[in-house]
Amino acid sequence: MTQPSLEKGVNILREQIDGPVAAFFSSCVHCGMCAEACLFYTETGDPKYTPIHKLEPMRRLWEREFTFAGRIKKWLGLAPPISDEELEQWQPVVYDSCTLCGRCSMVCPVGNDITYMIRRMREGMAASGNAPQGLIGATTRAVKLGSPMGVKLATLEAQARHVKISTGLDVPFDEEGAEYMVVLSSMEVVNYPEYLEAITRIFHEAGKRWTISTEAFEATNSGIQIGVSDIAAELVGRIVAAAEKLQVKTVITPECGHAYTALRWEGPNLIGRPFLFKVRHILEVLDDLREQGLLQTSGMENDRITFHDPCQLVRRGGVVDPPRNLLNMVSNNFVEMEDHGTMNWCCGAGGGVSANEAADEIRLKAFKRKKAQLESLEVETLVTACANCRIQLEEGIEENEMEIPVVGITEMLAAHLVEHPSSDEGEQP
Amino acid sequence: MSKIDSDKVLRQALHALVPEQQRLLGTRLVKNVLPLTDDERVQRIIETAEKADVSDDELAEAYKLGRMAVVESRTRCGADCNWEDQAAHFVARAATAVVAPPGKCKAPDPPWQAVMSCRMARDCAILAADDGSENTEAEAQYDIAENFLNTPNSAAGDNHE
Repeated sequence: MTQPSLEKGVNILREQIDGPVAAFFSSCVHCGMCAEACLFYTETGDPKYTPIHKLEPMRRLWEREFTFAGRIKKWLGLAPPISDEELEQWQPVVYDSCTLCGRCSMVCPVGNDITYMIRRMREGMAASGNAPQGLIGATTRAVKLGSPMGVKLATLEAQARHVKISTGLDVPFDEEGAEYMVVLSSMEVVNYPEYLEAITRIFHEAGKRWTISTEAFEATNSGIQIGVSDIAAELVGRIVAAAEKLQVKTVITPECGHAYTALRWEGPNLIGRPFLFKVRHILEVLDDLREQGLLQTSGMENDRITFHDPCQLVRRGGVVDPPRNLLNMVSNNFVEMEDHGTMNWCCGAGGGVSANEAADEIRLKAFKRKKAQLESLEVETLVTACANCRIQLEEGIEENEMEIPVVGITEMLAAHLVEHPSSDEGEQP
Repeated sequence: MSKIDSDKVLRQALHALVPEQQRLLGTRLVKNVLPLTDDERVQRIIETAEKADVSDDELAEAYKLGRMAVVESRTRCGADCNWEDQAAHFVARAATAVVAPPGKCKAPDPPWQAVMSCRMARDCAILAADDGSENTEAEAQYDIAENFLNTPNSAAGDNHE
């Protein structure tokens, strides 16, 4: 990251005020509906967490420099310029209490995409040196080491060896011409090693050729979270280069919400050209395999189960049906939360919030909404498809002394996978 | 004499044991990586797990303690991973799987989760040491299991299902 300064931050913030942002500011009717859609507001009752209010410095800049009334106010000395103190004061509301979940954008009666604006506001915040230390650290590691958590290839290779010993199956690295290239989140490598074994077994049964690139196995994108498009583009570019080098048809993003948004929806714009391959979330691929009869399961979960939709999958990506199709394969007691799918409530930890220690208190307050949803359903198991959601859900459940195990959907499917041992495999479970 | 020389045999042997014996063997596997944590809660879980006359309530309490240790020891998303801490996390995870009451641990195969978590703990310790050593935890586990199964007082043959 380049040396930050107030001047740089304000210049970048000004550049972010494009047509849509200007139109959004001028069309806001101050109705407050976005407040009721934001769990940081609903769980605290504090008006400073009203989503559109989180953009106040950017709105002031827009008014001061791009509106007639604002220019007169500026000329009369009634519209002071943005200061470092102001941006510093805004850091907690722009980063700690916004997960970029997009629920506010869904309810805005005039169609303002407030999340898009926050994402842009973060560009100015980061350039002015007002991003949280936790995110700065994660972003620096992502650029230097290839992983925001400092995970190196050796760690992944060690995990692949465990998969081999445990299942007899190879985790294929750098296989040219494979149909799928899998990218992983560091969280899966560090905290949920079951995911790698699950996909290895599932793709083996489906007869699919897949691979992991040793040059770009990390899916997450701290550049998006902190708000530095150059870094976001660099991180996307690494995956694109690896996928094109290996000539794969599809890159599969992992059980991670923002990694999907970063690569599939922001990726081509960030690098300035279309990809030569498709990008799909693991749930979309598993659902395709189900449709093609290549994912066969046996047995059913009898527990009362619900599904927590990762926001980036449903609201930014439209992946609503695949997890439900898949869960119905293995559960005969699946129930929906009252607000689910595109109107789900966020776990409270996305958009870089979980990487930011300063946000711990508000993050756990925000979980109260999910707690209420779970309690009203009286479920016995919670399933999700994002390692970051999962860690927040597990922490929130523990903090609130609830007893609901949280399971990744891919793992759950693998537990029910019908496997046909071939003659050269002796180690299949 | 039971010979354990692969994961397939180890898994079969684990599954052939009654839950109490699974717990006792699991405890021995965890004890092999116990020096990788200084979390007193995990030590207490193991002490509970190896009691011959442990009650369901004691196991439920140990499981609760374990869940707390697992959640608290995990590396947060985006944090710089401290491999020593992460080794301790996997030891906590293994110990928790060992004492999980039936149906509480949602891992598809809790005894196997204990086995794999011990190996992951060793991996993390090796990464922390950065000395290029090999992870031989699987082989150590084969020896521990073999010894357990072939010692009459630990896994008496009549305890097999």
